[in-house]
Amino acid sequence: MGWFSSDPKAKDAAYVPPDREARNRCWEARDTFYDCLDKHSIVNPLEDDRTKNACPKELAGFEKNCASSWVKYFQQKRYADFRKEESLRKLKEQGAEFVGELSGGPGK
Amino acid sequence: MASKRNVVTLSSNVRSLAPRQSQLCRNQQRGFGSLLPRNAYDSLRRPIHWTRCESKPRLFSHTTAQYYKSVQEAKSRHKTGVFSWKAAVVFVITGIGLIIFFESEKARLERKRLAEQTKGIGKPKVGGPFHLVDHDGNPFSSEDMKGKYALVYFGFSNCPDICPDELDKMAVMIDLTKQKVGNVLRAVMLTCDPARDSPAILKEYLAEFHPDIIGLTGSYEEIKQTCKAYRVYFSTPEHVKPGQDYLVDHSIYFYLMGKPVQPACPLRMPRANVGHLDPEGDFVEAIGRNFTAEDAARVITEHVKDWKGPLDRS
Repeated sequence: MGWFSSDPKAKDAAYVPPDREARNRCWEARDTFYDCLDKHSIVNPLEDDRTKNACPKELAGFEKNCASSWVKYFQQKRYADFRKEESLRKLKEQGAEFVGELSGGPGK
Repeated sequence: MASKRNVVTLSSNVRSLAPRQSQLCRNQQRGFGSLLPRNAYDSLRRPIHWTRCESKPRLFSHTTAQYYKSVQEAKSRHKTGVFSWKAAVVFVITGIGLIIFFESEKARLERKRLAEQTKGIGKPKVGGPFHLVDHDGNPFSSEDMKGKYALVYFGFSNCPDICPDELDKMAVMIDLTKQKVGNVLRAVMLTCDPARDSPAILKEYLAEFHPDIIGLTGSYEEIKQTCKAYRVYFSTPEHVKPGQDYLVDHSIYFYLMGKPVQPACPLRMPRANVGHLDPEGDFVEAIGRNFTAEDAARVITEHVKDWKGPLDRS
């Protein structure tokens, strides 16, 4: 790859944007992986040592169908979403009320 | 017999008085002649008794001096006063009409206030001039956005989940708006990842969503300036190695640009002679992720309907 670093065309040649089909394939593989994580109650797959042993097949499928940046992103997102839900739940337990989105919502 | 004669003399007295009084009456009414149509003038004259003519003739006297067809009617009118079922129905309908009118007017003023509030004084707070390239490789600047409302979205083609969802939403918004108010919207997706998103890639990528969406790209500096003007945060690395796989973190908003509020001061109008008519590309409203496509389309169509200036509908 280093040979092409001075050639601007190499950038375009190397990168193909994912189309709808590719995205759906990736999302399906991700969901299968997520289901497996749920089964083993793994919340943060990137930092949990059990991930590789618990869901090797699902992880391989996930990595095969998604770009590496997406693989990392979705795993981080799973943990971030979990933490968000967790803190919302805690706030509710403390009696907080949901008053709506901060940035102007649809209004009615 | 005697009493009968008395009556006759009395009535003849009345008759002899009447012409003089009606003469007086006519004299007084003459002043209104220019205000009233001929038949209204006649109806004013007919029911008035001479005693009434002493005071100023009343404009709507014919509504009070009514003749009833039967005694029952007169009695019931006496009992209920001016109230009748007809009056009640008219009252209720007028009331409902007024409530609906006030509610819609309230909503319109609220949108106007919002549009004016976000407009800022002097320089618009969101948006600004830019010089980029569209997905066909032709130059596209902020000037090209004028004439129609513009729906601006910032994204990038390697976006994992949010942008594709938002672009699908954008496609629905475009179709719904078109259905309701015609072709008044220019949909634009500005890439936050100029290193990878060349015009050709944007064209290929956006074709999947909606043929109307214009993809914009440019140099890293130009994109950075535009994102800054639109208050969009993005995290694209400036120097990317070819083939490097990375994601871009960016703000997720649709910006509705246009100019729904006509200038209050006519001195600000001369811009109209430039050829690029309003909407002039001022920021109108930000549409966040929490909006559904239907909500967003409703907001857009309402702003478009409020706009009274020239609008490119081609």
